Amino acid sequence: MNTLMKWMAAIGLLLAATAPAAADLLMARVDTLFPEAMAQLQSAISSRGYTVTRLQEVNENLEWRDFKSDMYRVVYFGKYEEVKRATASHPTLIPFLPLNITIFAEGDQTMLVASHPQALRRYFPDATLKPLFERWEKDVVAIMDDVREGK
Amino acid sequence: MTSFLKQGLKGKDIVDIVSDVRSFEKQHLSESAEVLDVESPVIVRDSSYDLKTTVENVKQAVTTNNFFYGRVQTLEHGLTEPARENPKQVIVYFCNISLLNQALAVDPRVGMFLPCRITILERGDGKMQVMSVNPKVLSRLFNNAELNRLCGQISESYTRIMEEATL
Repeated sequence: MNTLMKWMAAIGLLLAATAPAAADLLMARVDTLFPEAMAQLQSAISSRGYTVTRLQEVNENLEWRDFKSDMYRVVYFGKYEEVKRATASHPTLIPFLPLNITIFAEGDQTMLVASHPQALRRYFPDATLKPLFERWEKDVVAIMDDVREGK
Repeated sequence: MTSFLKQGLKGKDIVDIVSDVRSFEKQHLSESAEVLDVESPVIVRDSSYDLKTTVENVKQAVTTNNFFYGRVQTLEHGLTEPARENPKQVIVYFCNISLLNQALAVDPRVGMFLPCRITILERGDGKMQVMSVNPKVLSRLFNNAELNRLCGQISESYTRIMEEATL
């Protein structure tokens, strides 16, 4: 690696260290139109035993940046027993539940975004919750992978 | 400080690096790097009212703070049949179109935390609490100064609504 590349890499690392955003968001961009990606997302969620509880429209007036109201949804999902147990022992988890993935169209592509469950680990350091957060992380990553691979 | 020329960089290399760093400024990254101080990821207030009254108080406070009330449902709504839902975990959903448009215009990904919501919970010991995500925690996720401002504003609104509802 030449000196210039070393300096660029060092600056990149410095910026990464001061910009925590990327680490706390899970994102995927897929070359699939919104309706198809939406169907794949719901299928991927259901195939992991979760129930989709709501497809939330965020705003009926999303006309800017080529957004349309029918091209933007927040998909909520969860498992009844899991949510029941977790919130019984840790009620302050409720504001973060059910889990959700935001899906919206950008031209001919579709974006998926979710808050990284590792952020919950930071907010709720109780060791008893760690396995739950790790499984949520694994599942959300797998769900996004499924949509990315067009499953 | 030793000159970077003596450390092995050429003049053109330095110009390239400066140009690269300046391009971050155009992306507003330098200003956006601030992470807001958050005492707690959840804002919580105790209520001395019963569940039904607290829910009504939250709905009223939402309206008086320039939000429009959307709906009330239990946390478990949709996860199980209605008869099994826990009626002691209730969520009030609400929105402010102006704030929503501002937030989404800054970053469309912020929709995952919308619409606004406040939870009313009757605990096992019978105590009533209202709580919400502290919007300031979003500053860590989105790394954007403009969103930080909006998150601070929404955080103040949530606190005001919860305090009015539990007064």
